[in-house]
Amino acid sequence: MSKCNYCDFNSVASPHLFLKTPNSAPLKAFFGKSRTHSEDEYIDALTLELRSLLNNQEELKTREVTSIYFGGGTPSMLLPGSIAKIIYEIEDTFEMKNKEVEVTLEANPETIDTERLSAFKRSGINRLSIGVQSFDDSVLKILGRQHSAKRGADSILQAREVGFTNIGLDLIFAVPEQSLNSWASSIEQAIELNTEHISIYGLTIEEGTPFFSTLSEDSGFKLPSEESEVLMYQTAIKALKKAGFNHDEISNMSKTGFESKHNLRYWRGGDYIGLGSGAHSYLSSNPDGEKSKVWGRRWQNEADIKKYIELAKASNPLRQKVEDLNYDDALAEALMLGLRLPDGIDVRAFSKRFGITPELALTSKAHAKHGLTHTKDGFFSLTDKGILFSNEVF
Amino acid sequence: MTDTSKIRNFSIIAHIDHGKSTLSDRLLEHTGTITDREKKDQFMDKMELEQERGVTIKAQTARLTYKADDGITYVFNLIDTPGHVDFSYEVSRSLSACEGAVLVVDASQGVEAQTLAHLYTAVDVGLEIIPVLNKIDLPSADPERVKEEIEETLGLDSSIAVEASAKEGKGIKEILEAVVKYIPPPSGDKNAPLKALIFDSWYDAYRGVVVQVRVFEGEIKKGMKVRFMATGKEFELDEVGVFAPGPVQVKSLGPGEVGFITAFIREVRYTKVGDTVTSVDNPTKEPLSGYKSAKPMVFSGLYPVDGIQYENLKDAMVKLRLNDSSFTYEPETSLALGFGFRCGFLGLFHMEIIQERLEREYSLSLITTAPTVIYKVIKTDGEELYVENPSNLPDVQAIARIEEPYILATIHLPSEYLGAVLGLCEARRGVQKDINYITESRVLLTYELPLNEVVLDFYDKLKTATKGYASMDYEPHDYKTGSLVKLDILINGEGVDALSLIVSKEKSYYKGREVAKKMKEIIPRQMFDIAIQAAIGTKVLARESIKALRKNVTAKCYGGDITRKRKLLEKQKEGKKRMKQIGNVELPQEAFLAVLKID
Repeated sequence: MSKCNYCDFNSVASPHLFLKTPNSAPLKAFFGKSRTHSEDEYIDALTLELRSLLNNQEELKTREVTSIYFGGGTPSMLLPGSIAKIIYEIEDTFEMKNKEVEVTLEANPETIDTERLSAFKRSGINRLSIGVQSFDDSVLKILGRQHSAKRGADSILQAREVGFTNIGLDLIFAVPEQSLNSWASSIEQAIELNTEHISIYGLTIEEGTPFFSTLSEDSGFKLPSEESEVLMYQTAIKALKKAGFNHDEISNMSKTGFESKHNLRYWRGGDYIGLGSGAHSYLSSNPDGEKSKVWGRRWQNEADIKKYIELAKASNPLRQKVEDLNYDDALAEALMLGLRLPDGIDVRAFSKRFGITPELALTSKAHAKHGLTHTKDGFFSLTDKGILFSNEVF
Repeated sequence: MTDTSKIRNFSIIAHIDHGKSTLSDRLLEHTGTITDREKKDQFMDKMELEQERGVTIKAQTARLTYKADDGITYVFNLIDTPGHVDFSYEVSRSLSACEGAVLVVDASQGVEAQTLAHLYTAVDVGLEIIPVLNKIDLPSADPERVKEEIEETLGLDSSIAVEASAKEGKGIKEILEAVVKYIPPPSGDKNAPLKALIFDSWYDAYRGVVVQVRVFEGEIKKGMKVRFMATGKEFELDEVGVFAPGPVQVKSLGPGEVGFITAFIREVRYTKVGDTVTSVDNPTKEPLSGYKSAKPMVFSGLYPVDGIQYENLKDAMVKLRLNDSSFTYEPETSLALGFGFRCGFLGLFHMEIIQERLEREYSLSLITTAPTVIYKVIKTDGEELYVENPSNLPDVQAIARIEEPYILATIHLPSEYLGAVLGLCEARRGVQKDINYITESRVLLTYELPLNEVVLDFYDKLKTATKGYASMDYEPHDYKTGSLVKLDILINGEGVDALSLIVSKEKSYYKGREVAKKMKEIIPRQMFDIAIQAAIGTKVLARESIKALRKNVTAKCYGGDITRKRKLLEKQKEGKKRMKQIGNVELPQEAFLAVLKID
């Protein structure tokens, strides 16, 4: 198992399912691939985990899946048949009445071609999130990507060709040596390719990742200044809005009707179940019944693939880090997640749940002084300036 | 009561690193006073903080019984001494309770200044000295050379020296025999009026203050009414006992004996180290000589980061002072920091200890302002003021002159570092008084130094300059007129009183520049530009600016790992909680001690 180049996640692909209850709520699942274990072994383990879910948590039986997301690594390396199997198992386990279930596959351009894309589509994938990252070969090289700018563009055209009608791509800015011109031109090309969804991520280099060590070894790479980082972000938002995209979340823009339902659930505090090694899950409902003071439960599965497979085979618990949220945690999360949405937080709903308005709940008072937040039509949200300083607000 | 001829009272004098505590433990073990099971590494170092820092802050004694080769069973009182330069008065009182001392010298490194300072004190109070060459098991040990050094430089008789290894347990019996043989028994008249020396005291929640005493004349008994001569306080004794090493009550303590007394005394300030205890009914005329009231020499402001903690801080100080009367506090107000206290300490080390104890034992988050000394200000109208807070300095026009306290420092170092140390002393406005080659490779320097230059970081700098091989002792000297000015620090144009410093005029440019630079490093970027200025009066000496943060955002989703993101934010918030809001600007705690961090 290897580390992702940029964040400290393991390179394991996992599906997340969003579950829906009669009152609404979702589920999510992760997949994995490693050199030391066959794909079959891992898919079998996932299947075992999925089946054991309902045995361990009766309450989940009433839930309905609203979206499935194959992400957290490079799930597009899996055989389309494996994807099909998992989707089939999910359908077999949970209610999926709604025909509109969003089923996303995260795909790297070098892992897909017309034939595989077509097979993924037949497997039940109806949305693609393609890791294009840049349309500039020199930037792709610095990022250590295996695909070229041309392959990135071609993969989107091929996805269209086989009939995908909901495609997203992501772009990365603040990459060492990346110029504002290079960035602006990547944005232009993305707009021309006419995808439904575009994510823009600022490159954050985290300790413990291969990328961090590459950069720290006096590589001579120059990180863009904070000013140009801000400028890049603002340039992208402006250009995408002009091209008809809506601002769904700090990093996400989409055409009307094509927001990533799955991602929005995270920010709205929806429930999800992560399947596979290292996957995260969250249930907002009280796991121990009405009387407990728990405000939600988060957990992460065993992150080591080998151990994960062994645990699943032996029907042992897969959850490694279980965290019960108290009032303060839940409050902090609701603020942190809700304020990432341009609409912000519904003041009445928030106040009803926590007994305090979101504005008063913020511990840092910097937001008021510096014009980082505002309230409009009953919603409390970040201003444009506030988005840039969101960490000062939460 | 023990026959004086069978009593031996002694201390162990050692450099901090020389394994004093290990040797104490071995003596306790060898005499069966404690067993392996009972000892918590080093029994004599009792406070948690002391164990962490590896030095003794409070003295601790133990009574040992030892059956010597002559067939007689002796009572030994092993009296511990504090191990740091800030506590030299306490050391002198502990030593006064003894007739002899065991001088531990590292068999490879030889004599060090810390031992030297204590040794001179021991010789001053007339103690018999037994040299012990410790760590004899080390391959680098050179006992013959070190013996020579002991003869030549210390003027001690090295023929009675014992070779030992406290770590390995070698030479322990020989040390005990030497104590019997060479340290004289105490003398004193049992029927004379009571005269006992207080050499340590601490507060105990159940007994009140526990006072450690050494009886010189007369007898001290349970139920007796006693008077502490310097403070004039009178108490009826509740307990009389000895530490063996746990407290054991005895009927009485007679001449030459060492033990403790309690009388439900509420505060240690009534029981001053060096004071004489006498009987109310049959008092002595003359107290024991050598009493001094320990005076704080270093002052700094202590403020809660969060104003709400002011009352908690006050309670904590009241409690701490129950145990340490050498630390003083008075309420003070700062425009920048709000309500807090101006505290006095024996030295910088003492200050750090107090601050750490307040933060650790009372869960307080504190801001400590730069340490300062007491300046004597002579005003143009002839009035004299003592100023212990730079912001209380009168207007420049009203000042005729400022005098600052000097100390006499004794520095002991290997000669190869002489150049570096001379440079350091000169840079700190020192005046050389003496330079003495003890041996070819060891030098004893005597310098007069302004205390102001020493309290900041002299000791650390000295250690760095000599790779830790130098050691230093100091005593207050006198006041001298200095060319001193008040250096103000302005944040976004506003003077911050808590950041003001009194510095020598010749160094004011350098200090101003360096402090401003350091502040720039310490203060995190915020949502607006921050200007830092160092100024004397209206004259700006240095200017630094901290550029505004352009963004602080995580444009990233972490694949459903919300906990991770929340934890990151929580960490950021924790950091902010420890910052002090000055105007709009958030200053971290370290910013107030920036002056300590410049080279």
